[in-house]
Amino acid sequence: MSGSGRGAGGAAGGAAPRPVIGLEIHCQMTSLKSKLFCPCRADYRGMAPNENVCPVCMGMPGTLPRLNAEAVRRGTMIAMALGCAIPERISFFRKNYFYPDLPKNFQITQLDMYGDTSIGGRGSVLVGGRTVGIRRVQLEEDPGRMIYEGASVQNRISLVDYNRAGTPLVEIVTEPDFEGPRQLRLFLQMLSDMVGNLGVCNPALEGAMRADANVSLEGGNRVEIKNISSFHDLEKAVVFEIARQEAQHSRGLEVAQETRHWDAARKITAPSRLKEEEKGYRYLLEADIPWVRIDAETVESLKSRMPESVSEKRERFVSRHMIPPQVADVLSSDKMYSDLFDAARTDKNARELANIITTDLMGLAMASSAAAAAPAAARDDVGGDAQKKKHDDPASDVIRVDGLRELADAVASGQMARNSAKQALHEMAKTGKSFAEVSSEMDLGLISDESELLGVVRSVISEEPQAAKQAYSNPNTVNYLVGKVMQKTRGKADPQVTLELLKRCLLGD
Amino acid sequence: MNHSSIIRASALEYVRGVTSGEFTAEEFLSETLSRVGEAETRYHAYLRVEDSQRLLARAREVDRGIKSGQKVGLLAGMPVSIKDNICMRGSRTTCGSRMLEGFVAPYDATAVSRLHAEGAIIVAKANMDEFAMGLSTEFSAYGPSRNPWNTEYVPGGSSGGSAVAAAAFECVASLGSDTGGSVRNPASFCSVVGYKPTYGLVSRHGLVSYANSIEQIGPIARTVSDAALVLGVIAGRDEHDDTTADAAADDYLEGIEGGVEGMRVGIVDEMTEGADPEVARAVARAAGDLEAAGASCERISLDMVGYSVPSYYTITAAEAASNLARYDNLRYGYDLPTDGYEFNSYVAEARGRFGPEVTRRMILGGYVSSAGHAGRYYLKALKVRAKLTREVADAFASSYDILMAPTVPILPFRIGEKSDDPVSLFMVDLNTVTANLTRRPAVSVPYAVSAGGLPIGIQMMADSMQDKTLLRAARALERKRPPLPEVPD
Amino acid sequence: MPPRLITTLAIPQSGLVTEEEIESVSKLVRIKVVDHREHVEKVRDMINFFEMLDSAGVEDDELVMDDVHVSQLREDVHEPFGGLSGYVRQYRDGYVRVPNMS
Ligand SMILES: [Zn+2]
Repeated sequence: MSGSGRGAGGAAGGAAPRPVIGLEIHCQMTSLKSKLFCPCRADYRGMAPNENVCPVCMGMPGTLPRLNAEAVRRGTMIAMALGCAIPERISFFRKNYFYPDLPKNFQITQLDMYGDTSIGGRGSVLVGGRTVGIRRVQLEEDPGRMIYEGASVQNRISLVDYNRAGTPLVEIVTEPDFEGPRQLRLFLQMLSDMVGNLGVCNPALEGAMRADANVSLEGGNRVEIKNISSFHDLEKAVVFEIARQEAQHSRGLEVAQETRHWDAARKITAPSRLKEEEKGYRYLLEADIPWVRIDAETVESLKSRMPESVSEKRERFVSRHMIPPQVADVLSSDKMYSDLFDAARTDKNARELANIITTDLMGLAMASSAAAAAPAAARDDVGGDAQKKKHDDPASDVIRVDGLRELADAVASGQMARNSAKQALHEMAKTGKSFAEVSSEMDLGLISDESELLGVVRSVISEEPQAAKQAYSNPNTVNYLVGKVMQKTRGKADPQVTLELLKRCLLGD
Repeated sequence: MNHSSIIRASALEYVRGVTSGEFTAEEFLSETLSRVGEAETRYHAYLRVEDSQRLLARAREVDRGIKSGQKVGLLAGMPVSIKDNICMRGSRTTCGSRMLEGFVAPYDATAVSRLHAEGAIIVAKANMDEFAMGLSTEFSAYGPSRNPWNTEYVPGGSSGGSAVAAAAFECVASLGSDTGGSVRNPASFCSVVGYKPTYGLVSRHGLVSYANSIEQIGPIARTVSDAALVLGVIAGRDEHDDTTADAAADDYLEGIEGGVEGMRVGIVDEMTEGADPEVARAVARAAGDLEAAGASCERISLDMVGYSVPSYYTITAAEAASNLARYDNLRYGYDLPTDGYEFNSYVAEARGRFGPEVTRRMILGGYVSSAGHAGRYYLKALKVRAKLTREVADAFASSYDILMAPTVPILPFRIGEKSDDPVSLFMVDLNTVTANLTRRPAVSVPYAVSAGGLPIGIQMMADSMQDKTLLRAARALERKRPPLPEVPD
Repeated sequence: MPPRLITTLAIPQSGLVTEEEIESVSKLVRIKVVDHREHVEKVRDMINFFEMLDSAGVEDDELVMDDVHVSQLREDVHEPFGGLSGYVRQYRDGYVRVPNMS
């Protein structure tokens, strides 16, 4: 691999060379219905141990992999979204090594050993104004999960649950184009938005997105960091590793080329013991899977199936639906909420709907999931942190598209005040009642009945003689009085009707 | 044994006899089972015979079906056997290895479910070289099978048990598997028909992999037509095997009597030159028979055949090391407690149950596919396979319908004679591996018996998916050949 | 009489493979071999035999692979297998127990 001697030794004392970081991200295709090579569930979560298995994913004698066509299609879509070249044919390889979580003692994966036959390669994406190269996108199978019991090492019991074995993974290998944690964060956010938007993965699920990083100082040896359990820790691990390498450099020591693991408890990276196989895996063509042709016609039909990208969606929200850019940012980056928006929007309610979703509905969801959140430690979950709070919450289950549309319509047409909309939403989420029921029960509708409002208007005028007088000459004072009426009606007075009534009373006609 | 017994019937005769009421499926099965009981003391064709009461109950069911005019399937209660590397639900599948001594298959191989669907009764699991590695059945962990023509001799392998069972009337037909000749070689040694289909014609779902890129399940039977009948039952696209050809089910008996008039037959020099003189003479006579039937025969040279054996052994060793890696005894297998073992030492200990030949081939496979050596061995072997495939494809495209040679260049050998010299055993495979490496169909047809009373088979090979042409040529040779002596008993 | 074929295919005798190599490969494929010497000779013979491939002149040859169209593959449908538990060794609660990694 990279030669020793090119390292930092000679540059001791000088300014540290710039850090160079690359990522390997594993994204589970949790939105598929079946595993990569058998018809067991792709999303194994919530199942009893070894319930989601069959002879194929248990590596029973005589079984053969049955490649999932949709995994190939969705993988191709991710590759296209990452600007990759799509090969005419893809192939699979066996990576041979022994591990208890690997039922066949080899992993079926992709490799560019005999030509570029991974599902995508040589792509690039723009992140925060800089280009990140995508070296390779490949399909592979997830291994099972190991569980350890017992307090001490002597009493330890190792158990395996193979429910996860064979879950489709997309591995995305970037070029070492990152210089620091901020860029990493932007990239990972973009990527989790992308896979969510493409309907491949729900990045909020525990363990659905995992990453390894490789870090070096320019010209120095490369260090791989594994066992990183969250986006948050990825940044910490990278920051630590850069600092460690810079310290080595400043002391004139060469950074060893090695694999290190992130010790989340001690917040350091530590050298991993090398498995024998890591010195050189044995790869073999996977002859049980014929090479798969992905012809131009298939690529075209996948292109037409590709949903709008997050940036295209944001652009549409701003220019077509007149949504403020900051609101559009939030809304477009979340597939579930932006789908909800598109389903409930009309030409008239779009702005209000966007506000209701991004402030009231998301706020409600965050509050309810914070209350319900079990502090389950996500062992190798990278994507979870940021998004977990927004998804899988009871609130968004209950709020149906119709209710949301009616609510936004009511606000947009002036039949309901903005404040009341928030209350109505909470009530709808809590009780599951329809918008009509909630608005009538809670009496949240605007008071536009003149006879009802007239009493309030008169009492405000008599309580505020000063203001009433000034109102003849100063229109701002009229607004002040409208505010007072609003206060008295807890925001339910129809502002248009109130203004009319005030003018009428003050002018005495 | 009574030699006029009904169990000497061919598969076609069986089907005619049982459906016309000449005999019942139960009679036939029970005679077969008593023949098995008597023959097994000498031949050891089978590793396990299924429960006879349950088998007989199924035969009675078939008989009731025939009487009441219901559908009983093409095979109508025919007793067949399958090699012990083919999975049958609820039945032990050991692959002739102590490593899988306790393994019970949780599902049916596609070939098995198709046999069942056509009314076959699977009576036994047949002996084999451990994990199909061998060509004499001497590498079975459960003891060798013996050649019914002379029990001092090997029956060939690795599907030796299947060939012996068909030759010795312990079933009407049997399924073997052919990775480099494992169906054709024992068929030749036992004087029965062994058929290796075009790769992808028969599903491998449920066939325990040895070298998955080249192997196929194939029928072994007493006549070419019987092999064609069974092939028709098991062949065809299977959603459980992505490598099966996109071909509909077909009747392989159709046109089988069509003869070889106008066919062009090439006799491969590289496969004939070094053959035993008696074997070489048989090939020459077979060519004469085919010419008399209207075919034209000429010699052909295929340069790459000389490299086929090292290519074959490199690829099979590399694939075997990978395919057999799953036998770590963790999820299924035999009883070996894990206490006190570290993972790697446990797995190594458990895998100590593999026999010496399998062990050697896995070491070999690990070596030729390791990071440092793959380019020199594994990749080069793949390229030899590609070049050989081109050469064979060209021969078929330009000049020939059939390529012919002895199935095995030598006569059957004595038990123990060669088991200690792997490289000389390799050469026994010389004529058979080309069909596997190039994925072409090939068949061994019994042709003669040597002066010493040992069978000689002729191999014919055709182009991809030309299985019907191949069967037609094989049937023509079968019809034309001089009468064969009866198998001694 | 042995077939002439064995002599017509000249076997190079470079004898490169050592006992240590056999030992390390047997570790790689996880097989406990009590006496590596037992296998050295035979494996060495086989590997030497494989060196014939060097003279095949195939360096520039391309691999030929079968292919299928993506539409021929299995569609994404979930079908539970059911009934595998009786065939798999269980520790408890459905887990498979394995020896500890060192
Ligand atoms: Zn499965």
